Amino acid sequence: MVDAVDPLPFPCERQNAPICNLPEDVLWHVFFLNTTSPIASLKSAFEDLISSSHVCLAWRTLINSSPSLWSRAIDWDYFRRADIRDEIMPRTGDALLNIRVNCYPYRYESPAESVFTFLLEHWARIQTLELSIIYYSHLSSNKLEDDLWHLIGRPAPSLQNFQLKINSRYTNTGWPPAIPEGHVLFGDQAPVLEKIASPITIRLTSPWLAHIRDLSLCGSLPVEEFLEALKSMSCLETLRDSNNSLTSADRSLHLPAISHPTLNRITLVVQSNVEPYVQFLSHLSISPKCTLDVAVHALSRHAWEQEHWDLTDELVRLFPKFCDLTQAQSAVLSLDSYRFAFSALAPNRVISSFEFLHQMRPPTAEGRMHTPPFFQHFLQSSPLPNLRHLIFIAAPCHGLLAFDQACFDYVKSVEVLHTTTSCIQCITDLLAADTSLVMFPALRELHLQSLPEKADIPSMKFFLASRKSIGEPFNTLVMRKTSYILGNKKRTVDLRWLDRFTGLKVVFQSGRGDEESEYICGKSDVKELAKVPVNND
Amino acid sequence: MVILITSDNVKYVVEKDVAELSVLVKNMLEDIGPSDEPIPLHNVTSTVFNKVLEYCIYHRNDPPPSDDDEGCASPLHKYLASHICSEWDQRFFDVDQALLFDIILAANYLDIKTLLDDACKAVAHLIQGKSTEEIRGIFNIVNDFTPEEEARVKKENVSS
Repeated sequence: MVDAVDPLPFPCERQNAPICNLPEDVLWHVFFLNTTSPIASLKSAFEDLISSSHVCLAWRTLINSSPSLWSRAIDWDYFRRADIRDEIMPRTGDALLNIRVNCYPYRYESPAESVFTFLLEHWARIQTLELSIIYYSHLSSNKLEDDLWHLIGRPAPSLQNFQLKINSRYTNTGWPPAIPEGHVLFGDQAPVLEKIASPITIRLTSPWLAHIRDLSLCGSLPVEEFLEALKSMSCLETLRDSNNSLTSADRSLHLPAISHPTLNRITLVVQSNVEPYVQFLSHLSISPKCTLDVAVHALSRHAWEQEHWDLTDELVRLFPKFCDLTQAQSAVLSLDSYRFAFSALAPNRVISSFEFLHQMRPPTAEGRMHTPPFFQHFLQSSPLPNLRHLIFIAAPCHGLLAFDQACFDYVKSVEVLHTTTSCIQCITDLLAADTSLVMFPALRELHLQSLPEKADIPSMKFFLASRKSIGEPFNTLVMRKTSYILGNKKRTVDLRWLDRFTGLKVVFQSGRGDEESEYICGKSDVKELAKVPVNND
Repeated sequence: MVILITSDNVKYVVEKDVAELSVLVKNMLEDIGPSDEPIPLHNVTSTVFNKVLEYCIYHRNDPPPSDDDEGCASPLHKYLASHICSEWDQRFFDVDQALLFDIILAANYLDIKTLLDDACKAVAHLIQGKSTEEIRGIFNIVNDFTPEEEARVKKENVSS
């Protein structure tokens, strides 16, 4: 907790501010939280720490005598200035360092200001290194490779969290780099490493994998070898693969069945070959508390071949093995033009999701594509009897298709619907096409992200009238006082047309979501609906 | 059930799993063993305890806090979390500063880590991105630097 500090020369108690009633260790915790992701990026963390240290004598004394605060806010955007390094680094004392670097080799600085010189100097006490390299020129890449491997090829005694991102603005550069001859990441010596995400292929025999907790895959890893290696990763809690790193095993090969009870989050973004992920998940057993997020991003025409669809179908049919969503109370359903997604949240905050995204138009279809059958299979495979809240997103430009109706059968217990006026338009189009259709039969509340504009009035009237005819207990309309029409001009919308829906409670919220006012249709003064101010702040 | 008495002598009958979110109460229950004796909460008033109880009841089934919730979530995950999970917490901490700091003091005394963390985050959020003058204004803090110290602050290479 708090580093050893001298007694405050002017105690905070001398101030009258309520915040000064907080004990020193709690106040320190507030400053500490501002140095910690995801509350703040490190950039603002450094600025926040500087601003806070200038507020009053007590805060300044507390912050400046806490090496563990300054050591968590080292950002190369500031520290590339030698005067700032000279000023701030002494304040870090001997504390382990959390460093964020955005490095632009195209403007490779003089040796004295080289980020690698700085990192090498402090390498033994770096705890977290987030290194982002953005380069534009092939000319700089050789030197960059040398400097990088000179750093990350050496043992990392204090490193717990290593994240390397390489963004190339130059094509055909050969990045991510092949591991140079004679180099091994961290010399295979990273005794406290817990988290790694980098474009460098990991060696499945590296000893630090035995205590890794958070692993992002990269490179080309045969699924049978990774399953085998997983046996020795007994601390692994989070596994991510956004790079299609797994490669298929020969179908004749017998793959080991792996049980991994410590895994609590698996995030897979499959961009081309689905098969290795079907093989991987088929042979993996995990805790029921584990969150599984799978996204299939189809990037090429190949994605329209039947085999790809069959494999995706196999993948989604594996979901029930991992996710028991029968207790899920909240979900998101997205039926966009080429993006179909579902995400569910159980009471204990475990979330599982499946997303299918096509970035290529189907070869024959016009407009949006039909909901893929495997997406419906996914919904069918995860019954949601307790679902109460739904966020529903649809593509306003193409509307819903009759084909989508089946999706709504799986969310029919929904009582509270969060959506947009354009999605209401999509729903009413479906309802108009089939008058026998009953969507959201248990709906009680509708939450709109913005106030209905003039063009939305017919569909809103239709929707509200249809609820009335169903006779279900729909009684609340919640609207944020914002608009999807951009512009700063102060204006109002006329919502008096709502007054005919007698008994309907209308709740207006500010843009921040705070409750502001209520209106009961047919009972309150209709003048209140005449000029509802739009808040676009 | 557990009986708790606040500093202003208001009695609460609370389910054990909710009460045990407080490490202080949990330890006291373990020390006294099975008993109907009320547990006094000397440093917490009923006004503040009402809020603490509201938080504990809402979060009673939460999994243990993770030290890493960033980065790994899908966009949908984040969308869902930001629209549903945090809405309740945002509203819960949308109180005047005096009550917010009292909640922090109560969470600290009762040793409820998640409440302490969440309440401190609400305070930390008030600081983020603000200039020194803005922070002073938000918290009603007086600049009490001596002229010499003020000069040293201004001389620092990093301006705020």
